Amino acid sequence: MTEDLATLGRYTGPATLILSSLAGGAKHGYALMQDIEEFADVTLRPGTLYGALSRLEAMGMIEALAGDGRRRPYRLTPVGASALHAQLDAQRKVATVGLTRLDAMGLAT
Amino acid sequence: MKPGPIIAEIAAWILFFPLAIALMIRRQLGYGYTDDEGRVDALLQWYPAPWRRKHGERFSELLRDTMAGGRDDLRTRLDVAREGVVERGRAFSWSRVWASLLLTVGWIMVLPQGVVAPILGWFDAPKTWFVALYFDGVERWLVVGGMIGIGLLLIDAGLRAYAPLREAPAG
Repeated sequence: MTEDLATLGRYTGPATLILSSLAGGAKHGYALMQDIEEFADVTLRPGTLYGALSRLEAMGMIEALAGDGRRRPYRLTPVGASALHAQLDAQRKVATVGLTRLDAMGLAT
Repeated sequence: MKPGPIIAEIAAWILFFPLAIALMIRRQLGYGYTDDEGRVDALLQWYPAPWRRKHGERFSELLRDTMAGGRDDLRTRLDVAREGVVERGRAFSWSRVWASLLLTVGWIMVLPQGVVAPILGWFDAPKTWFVALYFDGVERWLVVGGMIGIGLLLIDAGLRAYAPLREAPAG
C-alpha cells in the first residue's frame, strides 16, 4: 500500500521537496538543502529538514546509507518513489485545473 | 514591613525574570560561544535526550555544514529550537511526569524536610514550612527520620520509574 505524504501534516511540503531532490540521486542533509534551494527556490532550515528526514525514514520512504565519516547520505526507497509519484500527480491535477480556469477567465499572465 | 521595599522587590523580580530568561534563551540558541562545537551542542539541547542519542550525530553534522555554509542566522537557530520543542512534545509521557514527581518530592523530603530542618532547629530558626520544627524532642526526630525514610523510598521508586524511559527509543 502506498503511504500518503499528506499524513505528515506540516512536513508534507518539505517531504515532497526532499523526495523530489532524492529522485535525482542520494544526497546528505546539507546537499539536499542546497539542491532544494536551487530547483525550488525554497530554503529548508536544518530543524525542519531533519524533522522531515527522520519522519520519512521512519515511514520507510528514504533510507540512510553508510557515508564518509559522520555524514550519511539518504536514498529514495521504492515506497518513497511511489508516494512522491502520487503526491506530484495530485499536485499536477490541481495545477492543471487552476491554470485552465485562469486561462478561461483571461487572467493568466 | 513597609510597602516601599516590597514593591521595589517585586519590581526587581519582574524585571529580573524576563531578563534572566532572555539571556538563558540567547545562550541556548548558541550565542556567546566562540566555536561551532559549542553552538552545535547548545542547539542540540533543545531536543530530548532519547532523540539526541538516536539522531544527534547526523543532526550535528547537518548543523556544522549549515554553519560552515554561512547560513547560521537567527531564523535558522529559531527553526532548530522550534523543532526541538516539537520533539520534546512528542517525547512527553505521563510516566516521565510520574517519575519526575517521585524524584522531586523525594528530594524535598530528604534534604529540606529531613536534613535541613533539624539543623535550623538547633539555631532556633523560624518554623515556616519545615514540618519537623512544629514538634519537639523525640517527636521531632521521629518526623525527621520519617521524612528521610519515606523520601529515600520515593527517590528509589522515581529512579526505577525513570530507568526504562532513559532507554526508550526516540521517535
